[in-house]
Amino acid sequence: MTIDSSVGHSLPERVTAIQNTVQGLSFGACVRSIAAGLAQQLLDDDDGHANAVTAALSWDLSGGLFATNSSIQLIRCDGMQLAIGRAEHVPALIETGGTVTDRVLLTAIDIQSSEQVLVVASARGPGCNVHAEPIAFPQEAGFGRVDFDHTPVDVATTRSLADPVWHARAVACIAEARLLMAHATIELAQRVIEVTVDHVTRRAFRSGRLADLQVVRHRLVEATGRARVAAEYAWSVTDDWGRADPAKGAAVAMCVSTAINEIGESCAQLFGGSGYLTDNWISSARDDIAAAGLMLGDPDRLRDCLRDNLSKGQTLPDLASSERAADERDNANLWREVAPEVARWDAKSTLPREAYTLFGRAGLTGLTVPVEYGGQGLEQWQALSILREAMRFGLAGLCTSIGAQTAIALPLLLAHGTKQQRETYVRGIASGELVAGVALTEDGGGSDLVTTVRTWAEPFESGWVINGQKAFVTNGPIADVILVLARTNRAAGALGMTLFAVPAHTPGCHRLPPLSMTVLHSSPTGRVVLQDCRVPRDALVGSIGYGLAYVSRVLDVERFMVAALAVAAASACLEQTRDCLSVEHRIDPHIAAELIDAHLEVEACDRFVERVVKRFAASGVTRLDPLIAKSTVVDLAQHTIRRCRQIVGARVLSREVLQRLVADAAVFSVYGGTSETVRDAAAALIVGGAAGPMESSDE
Amino acid sequence: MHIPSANSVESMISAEQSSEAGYGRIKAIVASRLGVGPARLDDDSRIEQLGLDSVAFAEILMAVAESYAVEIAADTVAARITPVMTLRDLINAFYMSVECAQSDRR
Repeated sequence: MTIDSSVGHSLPERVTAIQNTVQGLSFGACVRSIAAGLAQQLLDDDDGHANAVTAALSWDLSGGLFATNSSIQLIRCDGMQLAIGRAEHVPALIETGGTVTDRVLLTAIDIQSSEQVLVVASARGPGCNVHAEPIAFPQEAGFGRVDFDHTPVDVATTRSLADPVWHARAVACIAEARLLMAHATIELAQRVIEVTVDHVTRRAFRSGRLADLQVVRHRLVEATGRARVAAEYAWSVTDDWGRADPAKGAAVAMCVSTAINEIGESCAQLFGGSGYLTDNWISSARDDIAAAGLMLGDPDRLRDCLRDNLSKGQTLPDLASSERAADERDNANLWREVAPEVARWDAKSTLPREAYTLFGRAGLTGLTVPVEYGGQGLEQWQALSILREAMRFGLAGLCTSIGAQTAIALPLLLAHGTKQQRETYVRGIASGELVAGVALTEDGGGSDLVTTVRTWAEPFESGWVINGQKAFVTNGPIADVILVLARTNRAAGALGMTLFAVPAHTPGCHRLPPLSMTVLHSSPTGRVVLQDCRVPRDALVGSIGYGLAYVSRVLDVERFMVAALAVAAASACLEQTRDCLSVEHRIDPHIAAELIDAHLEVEACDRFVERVVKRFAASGVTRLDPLIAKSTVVDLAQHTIRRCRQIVGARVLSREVLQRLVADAAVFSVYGGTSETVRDAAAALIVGGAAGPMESSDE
Repeated sequence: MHIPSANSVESMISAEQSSEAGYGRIKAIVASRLGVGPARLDDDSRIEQLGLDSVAFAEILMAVAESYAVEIAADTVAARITPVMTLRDLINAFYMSVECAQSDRR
């Protein structure tokens, strides 16, 4: 379907048509078509003149989308309505080949009634003067300026915007057009990244390529991360569109606008001087990017649109579907019961073993465990939704402890454990009777297990002897069973590691007391020392040599979880910050604007994590998404949390929850793989070609 | 190691066909791990250039074993892999392991 023939089709179909057009390297053609489509929709134009009309609207109506500097007035004379004035920056005015578009849909002031009206004037009619705007971009969008000198307008199509029905309709159509423009911009951003990846992989630098430099690779990861988050957010809103909602359209536009500006500059920089040569695609893309940012709308006006929602008492999370909001309320009630206990434990820097009995009774320790083993049988995203609600109460430590079981220990045992292991351990953990720790990290580090794991398991007749030390074992001090990753073959690299389920009371297995840490007080973390620890044959989990492969696969789940918690923490911090400031008589407008922007960023990240978790659960394909979640999303969340702390200032001293949130937030970029190593892994995929258009069939 | 019988042209052809199909299947698994379509992978590229590290080999081997529903001994495959191999060599090494595992089962 071409973009022009797509007008009148469903929104997702129109988005796909736009994506195809931009991939064909014509952002300008998209702009032209979206403008024409908007005009047609507003006119309810059925007679099939696809490109014969364009839209040029006032700033206050459109918030910047196809907004014209115009001062058009409508006068009446001899029974006709005549337009006088000038409209600048009208898209799709000049068609390819130089002809002028037939009609322009304009906003004008009716002199007689002093009302703002929508009128259609002919751009080829008497009294009309059209000029191309030579420095307007993007080139193919056909921007021009038109002067009307007593030009007759089509009376039948004149509509007064003082009529609330017409005003609402106009606003809704504009919201939809803005969403389409956002999609076109995202496509452009992805194309820019592709072209940049291509450039840096070809360009020689010193003894290698530009793409071999870590700083270049990380920059590409940042850009890709931003584009992916914006894309998923836009699709999330598109899928939920239903009745066109100006606030949602504005939210997506702002997110995309921020992203495209950063991506554009960051990528263009990598071309050096050649990025300014007119025959280099990236130099015209620079113009397109600048235009896209402008056309999506003026940020202040978009914020006003969102501010209206906020002032009505709705918070941005209410932009989510009502079904989701209901789930969140239920989950919050669950945590409200548990929170005071945990806060007491956190203050004493401990989580007693009995806590797990409480969690087990509440169903929190078996969220994703199948019902046949006594669990709740929930999907990953449902479980994450429950856990992240805990962040509203600042329970990061608790989430870490339960999360280590939910995201690592249980999936490992369920996927690779023997029947006996599942019956004993999975059932026990789900009920809260048993606590599991996961022992992977060693003193040499945790992000690169292949090189740092020295714990060694030697076979003997009836089992294995394990020797080694594990660091930072979540739940280590109170665990009943510990999943230990040990090396069994020195020459086999990642294929020489094996996973064992070691009962904690096994002679030779020493759980040291909890580490004294400045963060995550309610997550007991400690060293586990294995000294001639003899375990029976049935302690083996899965097959010999595959331990790291198993762990690697569940790392994706852990990464999604950390990202979800980080975003929830950021959201909770924003809530606390708004709460703090709401007692002030006056909030500084810059701070207010910043908080809206931060809220949008967090909302976009939240939608991204939700969509990729669900997609992962459906297809299990390991790609960039968990890595983007763990790097870009966590970074954005942490940035928001830091800003909240600065904004709140000394008021934080009387806010225990906020203090805990802020203190614990730093750990999100460390555990589950540090942001830096995760970025390296993401870069390897991107430079190897994974940043291209999505290949999986579930789109 | 199982060597296909060379007795009949038919069995040679079918061995070649299944080996082609097997090659394609394993290549698809590698591509999926890299997040790209198989057509974008150059068989002659070195695996370290493609961004495949030791952990990736382990993950891919696991996926291959699951795909064929066989158990493949990790250390025998590990002994065959080097970073300077081409993609083609890697896929063939995995395919050989699958064949071994299947014939052991028989």
